[in-house]
Amino acid sequence: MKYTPREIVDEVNVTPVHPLVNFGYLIGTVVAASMTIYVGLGVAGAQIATRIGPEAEAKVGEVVFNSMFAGADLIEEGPQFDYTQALAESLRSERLKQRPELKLHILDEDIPNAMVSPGGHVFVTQGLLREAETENELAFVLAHELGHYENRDTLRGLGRSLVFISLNSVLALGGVQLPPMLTGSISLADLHYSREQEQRADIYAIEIMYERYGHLGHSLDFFKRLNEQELDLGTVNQVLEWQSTHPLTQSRIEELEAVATKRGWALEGEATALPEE
Amino acid sequence: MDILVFLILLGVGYFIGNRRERKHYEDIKRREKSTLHVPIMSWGAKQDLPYAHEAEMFVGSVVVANDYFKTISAALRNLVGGRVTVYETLIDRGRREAMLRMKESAIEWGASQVLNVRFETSNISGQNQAGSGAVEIMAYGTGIR
Repeated sequence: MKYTPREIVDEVNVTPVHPLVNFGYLIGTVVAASMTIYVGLGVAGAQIATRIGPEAEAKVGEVVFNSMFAGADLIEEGPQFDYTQALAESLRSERLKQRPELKLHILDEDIPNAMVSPGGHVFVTQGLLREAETENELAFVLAHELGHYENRDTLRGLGRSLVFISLNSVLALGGVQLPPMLTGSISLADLHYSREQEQRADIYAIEIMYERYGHLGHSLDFFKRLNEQELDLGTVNQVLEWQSTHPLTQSRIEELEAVATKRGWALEGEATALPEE
Repeated sequence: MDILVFLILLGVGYFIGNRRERKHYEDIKRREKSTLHVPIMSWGAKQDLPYAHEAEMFVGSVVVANDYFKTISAALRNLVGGRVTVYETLIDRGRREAMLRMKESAIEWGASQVLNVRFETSNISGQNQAGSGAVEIMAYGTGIR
């Protein structure tokens, strides 16, 4: 057989795709898939937050509580604890009584603060208990936190983690553990709420105050005192207010007083004293 | 900062890698054309070789590394699956270069044809996750004259 040299012209081994087109397609696919998953998890998280039953909520609350306060110093006894616990329980609405029971924890912390985490864990700091001068003040702060609890803000605040946390507690029955990377570590910093959620909780709290005391006198005193301590930021205030999810105290008080006046609720009234220690 | 470093590496990988690949292909095509007169055959194992005065083995081998752009493209491809087109050109270049090196040394010796040609491929690096990969491709065959 005679050999006739022929040049190879067709490139069978190389796919004729421009590398950048190929790269763009890959990046596009991966980004689109991640976005879908991210949005899907967000939607699923919000759905779970509104639909979760009390038992599952208690379980989720347990996980969050353990991850936030593993080894923290919590005071869970003594007359002060009993009084605050009883006060918080007496503030519950009928709907809240269907939810997991309130579990009060006192944090050994000087900054006055209070918070609530999923599953009805209510935290108050020693600073708050020390600074509160009347029962009305303390009750208002507690009622505000209960507002977050009843509105399920605590669960919504977990966002996408909620999907994995609830999935984890379901899977745990079958002995399967998701990698801890998925559930993430939850810290106090994650318990923040939007301005709307704060306002709803505030209004929820004054409603309870009105129901309990028949007036709003002294309920807001705690915030008024806090406000005096704050620096006068002047014009910066408005900028800050937009940036902050927590409405600044002054506008918060004004708004609440406006709501109360509109509903014809008294802003003055007798204070209920705190028990002698 | 990290994203900037990443983009710089990606840019370097793409522009330099692509330029080199284009140049290499031009070179390969030119040399293939000029060595076309010597036939290359895979035929020869367990068969009688055609009558020849002399026979000698010739080896051509080349090590090609992939660039950062190819690494990232391939890593992304790993997520979705399918043809790794960026590596196709790399391996193709490697095989043709190895073949050309073998053929050129055979021609220098004065071969009239190269028989029983085989390819071998091996990973040189890239076993660990982070390192960029390189591949060695070797072509060998029996030249006769």
